[in-house]
Amino acid sequence: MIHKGSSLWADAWHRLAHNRAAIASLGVLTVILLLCFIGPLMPFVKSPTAINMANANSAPSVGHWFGTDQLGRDLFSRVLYGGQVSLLVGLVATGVAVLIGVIYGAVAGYAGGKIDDLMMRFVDILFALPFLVLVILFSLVVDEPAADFTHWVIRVTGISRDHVAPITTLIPLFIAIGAIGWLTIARIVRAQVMSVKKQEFVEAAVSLGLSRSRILFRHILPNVIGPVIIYTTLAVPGIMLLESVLSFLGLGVKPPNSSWGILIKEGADRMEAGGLLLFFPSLFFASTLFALNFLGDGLRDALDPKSAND
Amino acid sequence: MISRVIVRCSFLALASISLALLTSCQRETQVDRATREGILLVGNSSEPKGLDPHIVSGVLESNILRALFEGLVTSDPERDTATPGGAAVEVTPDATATVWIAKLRPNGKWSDGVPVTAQDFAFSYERLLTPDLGAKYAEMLYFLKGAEDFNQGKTKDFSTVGVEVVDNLTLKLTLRGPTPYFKEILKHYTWTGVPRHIVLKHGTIAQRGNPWTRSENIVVNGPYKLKSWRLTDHIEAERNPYYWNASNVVLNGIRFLPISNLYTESRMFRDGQLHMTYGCTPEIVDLMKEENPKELRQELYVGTSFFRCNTTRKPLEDVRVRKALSAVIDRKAICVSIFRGYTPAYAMTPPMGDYLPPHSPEISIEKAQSLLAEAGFPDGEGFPRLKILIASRETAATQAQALQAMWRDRLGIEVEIENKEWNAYITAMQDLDYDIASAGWIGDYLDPLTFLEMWTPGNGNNLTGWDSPAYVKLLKQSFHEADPNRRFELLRQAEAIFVDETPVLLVAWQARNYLVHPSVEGWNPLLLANNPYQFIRLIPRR
Repeated sequence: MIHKGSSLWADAWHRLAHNRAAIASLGVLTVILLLCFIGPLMPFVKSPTAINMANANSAPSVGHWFGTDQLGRDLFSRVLYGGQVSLLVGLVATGVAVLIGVIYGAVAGYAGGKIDDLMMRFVDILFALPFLVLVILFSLVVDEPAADFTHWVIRVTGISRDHVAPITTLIPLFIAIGAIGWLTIARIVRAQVMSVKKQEFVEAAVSLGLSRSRILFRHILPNVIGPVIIYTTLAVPGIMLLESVLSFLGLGVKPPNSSWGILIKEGADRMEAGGLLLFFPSLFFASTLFALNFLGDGLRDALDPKSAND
Repeated sequence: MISRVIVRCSFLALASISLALLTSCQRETQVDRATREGILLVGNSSEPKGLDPHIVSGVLESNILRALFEGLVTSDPERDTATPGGAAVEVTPDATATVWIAKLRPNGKWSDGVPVTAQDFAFSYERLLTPDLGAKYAEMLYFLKGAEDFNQGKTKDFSTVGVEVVDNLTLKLTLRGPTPYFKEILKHYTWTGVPRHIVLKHGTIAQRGNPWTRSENIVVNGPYKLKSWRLTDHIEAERNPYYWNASNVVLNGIRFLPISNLYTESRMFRDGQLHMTYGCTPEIVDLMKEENPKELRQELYVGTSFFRCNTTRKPLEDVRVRKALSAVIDRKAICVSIFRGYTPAYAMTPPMGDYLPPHSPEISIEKAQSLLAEAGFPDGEGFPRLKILIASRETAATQAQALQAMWRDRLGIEVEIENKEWNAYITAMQDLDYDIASAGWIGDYLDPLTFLEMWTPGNGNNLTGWDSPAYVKLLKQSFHEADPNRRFELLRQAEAIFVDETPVLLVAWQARNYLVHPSVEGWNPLLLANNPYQFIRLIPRR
């Protein structure tokens, strides 16, 4: 009887589909992503920056589902627009960092010797630079061009500032986080690759005459994907928090635009005035992080080639 | 057996939990302990820029200086207009209120035991007015005859200034004109003396950054002296045994805590870590009104909230632009939803005694739009991207966002908000490195001049680059006017020019909201909030 071969990804998907928590999390994430990115295009979602001071700090109502903040801005739309910022930073910046880190680390680990030495010393040098100081210097340089770019996009495309500004002003942030964020992941991947490449199945692949890149990306990398995914799911919340720090320093989001981190800080400050300003952004932020963690857990189990193929 | 162990364990756990609960209930808060020790815990916003009364200019610094230094005249704990003697037994005017004689106390001493003399005060005034020191508050002394010329370098001879040492304990001050309210002005910390022997020991008279105010060097003449200064942690003042009236000082000490976030400050107050807060956000005002109205103080204040315009930059150099920006601000809405107890400001000077400030003309939104179009920006088209500079304080950010939205909706102008740390914010204003900056001004004495003299060119608190010869001329005339009503009329005319040219965007006249613990007794509402500390009693209350 011929056993039908199954691909790594098909197996993984099969295993993931049986993990209820992971699937539920995937659902939650999808809903949040749709809400944040498609929701604001709906006509009933108000502008997140239009103030109405006569209606400040109001409770949830038909007009304002989550109530309004201290300037009478609609909290529901602020949470959605803020979500765009937080999710973009969390997912895209982390994704970029992981992509660079995995490739860099894998190449260094697999090549070994002098190339490895050279590549990893470069990582060490970058690690030695103080991150926040670098980012502040960086913000001084890129701030003006980024603001000019925002205005250019608004003028050329004619899209509302509310839609453009939260995203374009983030570009310096992506670059800053992407430039530094890949270092840890590169080290992790390199160490994993070095331990995996000595195993018999790699030797078998070498003796079969496979090309180096095929061995590295087909045979070795799937075996290191577990730690990478764990690291990534842990890194996303950290980077979302980093965004709040950097926004405070003037890089990234500027008022009146917002992010979940900023909304939560504002809500926490005004906690005594009723916790709704804190509750709604926190609910979204916490659900996203929970879902990401469960999904990461599920993905690690699913993608691990060593787990039973049942 | 096992079950018995479990029972025993749970008993232990229960006992320890209840013990913990018990102790937490009876836990002595920091305020309780400080009350017992007679030390007042005061929230004081930010780290002070320094303790040199000739260098600083902020309210938070003045809160500390008031404890450490005593001027010729001091403040009364209950009455705004009273002027009890401080370092001087009495200060008496001549018939025209132009020449004033200060008789110093024979028992006045610095905190190192050296007597306080008239020479110390003469030296202080010379120091503050020396151009090289670059004191931002030098104009407080322009009341002295010849002070302005000396401060602006027109003469190097200090004897031309109206300060004369008659003998060790007698100081004769000659003013630029009749000033019946001069004793009010003498209460301000710029008029306090600094110890000549200490300042000269650590540097020269005009040396900026003279280390004499470091905690190990500083010598003072007030009811308290500096005990310790830990950066961003606290500044503590303790009794000064050499103070002339030391036996009547009730409070043992004061600890000033630099807590820049008002929300954090209120939380610390509610947690029993502070006797008194620096301020109070609208949310906390509402909450305390419901929960604990006794601890909430809402008092009148002579202060104005406004935004400075950098009138040296395009397009803000155009008065039409400034008028348009000012006209579309919905002051009433801001006062209601961002502040508590504030009233919309239509002039720089809040109504004060007999002085009625001029009323700025109402400009409709349509008129504002056409003004902006006249200036070359129809519907905000082509308007440069301006930045609103704010210091990282809560209400400033909310205010700036309100302005941002109003200008966008009504004028089609986009502005950005730039947040800076307090010291960087001050520096940017001093360097005129800003477009629009949030600001507040608290009166230094109870006379409209305290809100008007700062807008003369070259004044250390102008910071807008605004310069109006007609304005300066009217102010100068008022200096020589003896009749109070005619003087007020001159000031009103000057202020009308100021309001019309709009170098600042006026927002609101302030009220003072803050929290005071019930154990504090003898802290009375004063318009200038310059309460002396030494008479405060701390009475333990649960």
